[in-house]
Amino acid sequence: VASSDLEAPPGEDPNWDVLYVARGDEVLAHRPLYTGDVFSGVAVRTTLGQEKNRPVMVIQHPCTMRNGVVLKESLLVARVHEFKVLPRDQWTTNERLMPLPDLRPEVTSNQRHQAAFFDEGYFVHPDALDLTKRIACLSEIGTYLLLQRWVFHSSRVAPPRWKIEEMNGHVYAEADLLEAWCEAATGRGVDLVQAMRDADAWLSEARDGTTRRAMLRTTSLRSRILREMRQATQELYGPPARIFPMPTAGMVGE
Amino acid sequence: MLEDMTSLGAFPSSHTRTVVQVEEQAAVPVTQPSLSMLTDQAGFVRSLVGVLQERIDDVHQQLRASLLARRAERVKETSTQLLDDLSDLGFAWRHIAMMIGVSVPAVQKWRRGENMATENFERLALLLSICDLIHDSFFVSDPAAWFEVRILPEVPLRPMDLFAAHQEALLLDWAGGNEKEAERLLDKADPQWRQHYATDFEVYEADDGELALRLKER
Repeated sequence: VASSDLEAPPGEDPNWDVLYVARGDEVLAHRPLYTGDVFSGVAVRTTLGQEKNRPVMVIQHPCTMRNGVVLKESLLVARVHEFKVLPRDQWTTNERLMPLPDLRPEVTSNQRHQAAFFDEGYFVHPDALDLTKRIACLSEIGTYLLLQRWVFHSSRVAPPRWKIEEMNGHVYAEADLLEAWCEAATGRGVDLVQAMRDADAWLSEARDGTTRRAMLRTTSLRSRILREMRQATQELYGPPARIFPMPTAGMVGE
Repeated sequence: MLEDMTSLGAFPSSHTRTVVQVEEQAAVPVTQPSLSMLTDQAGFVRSLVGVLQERIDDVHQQLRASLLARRAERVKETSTQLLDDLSDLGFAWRHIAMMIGVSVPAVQKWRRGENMATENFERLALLLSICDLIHDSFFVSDPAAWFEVRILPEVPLRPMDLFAAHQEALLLDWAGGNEKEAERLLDKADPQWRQHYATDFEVYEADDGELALRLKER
């Protein structure tokens, strides 16, 4: 398989928003750690045994990141540093990295555009990944593009992005659900760790001979699980507090 | 409204008889049809197609009117109510963002009470009115699931992709259609879909119970 099978994000240059679900202030603390998360200032040990603080991206596959809700003791991350913007027609090359254009849109210097380098990898303990230092989370599309490039770098095989999505869609759906659960729980004063445990127990609960986690594999059941989740969080933590003003459509805003 | 839409799908009895007549004509064993007979038949079929096309246009117009009526009701809601209704249906926030054409943080800001542009408000209202329509008139019991499930199992195009591409007419065609029409619909949505989504890879369940990728057996 030639590297020309590597895909670029949909859309047109120079709009790279499709790669990210959140950057900078948009990153929510209650989103569980996931493949493609970018952190600043992570203590890593270099091959020479030196300890350095470096920005990194989690490149561990989502299926092998946790035992239940507990993160494994060693997670694979790749160093992130400045890199030029790679136009979409050049994403077929540079397979040793994941381009991160506009990673820091608030910055006007060259630091605005970066990349994660697969040949500069480290294993870190999850405690080193301080969620308050998370500066970006990839979107679903961004995550699959990362996995495609990482797989190609490791094996010289580039499965189509939509096939990677078919294989991992339920895992991303679970991460999304966990975020929604934790948002509901922490919004009503529940501790984040407890919220994760509650969510895990709820997903692992056996019903009709299977678990909700297993049911997420079936695309047509995901909406049902989301509806049940909203009901379950209300039963567990009480009804959502309406703390925000009721907005109406206006000419201002996105 | 349900009765209106049900009647839309039925052909008038005169049309039914015409179709039967054509089939009967075609069933007659003609060993060597004359040129004039073939010309007559072709002309007859052409006129029948014209009648059917008019009927299809009529159905589309009535669907559009029904959709606009539902949308008129939905735009009376606040943006927060619209988002809550979509969430209650089981739509994920990332899918709502994708269908409206904004980022997930933009949807989160709306949920926190920030104003949204009128264009986005109208798209949200349209999305919900389509959910109302397919639920009430096409008997789709779980609209959020319907939007998420692929049109053909081996092609990653979903009704939500059609909505994101502003192809609402195709969306409603699909809601009222069946699997036999899926390829025709995909031809309209993306004429190159067979090339775009040709692959030698397949997803399978590995021995550990997790999904994995492999090359298809030839």
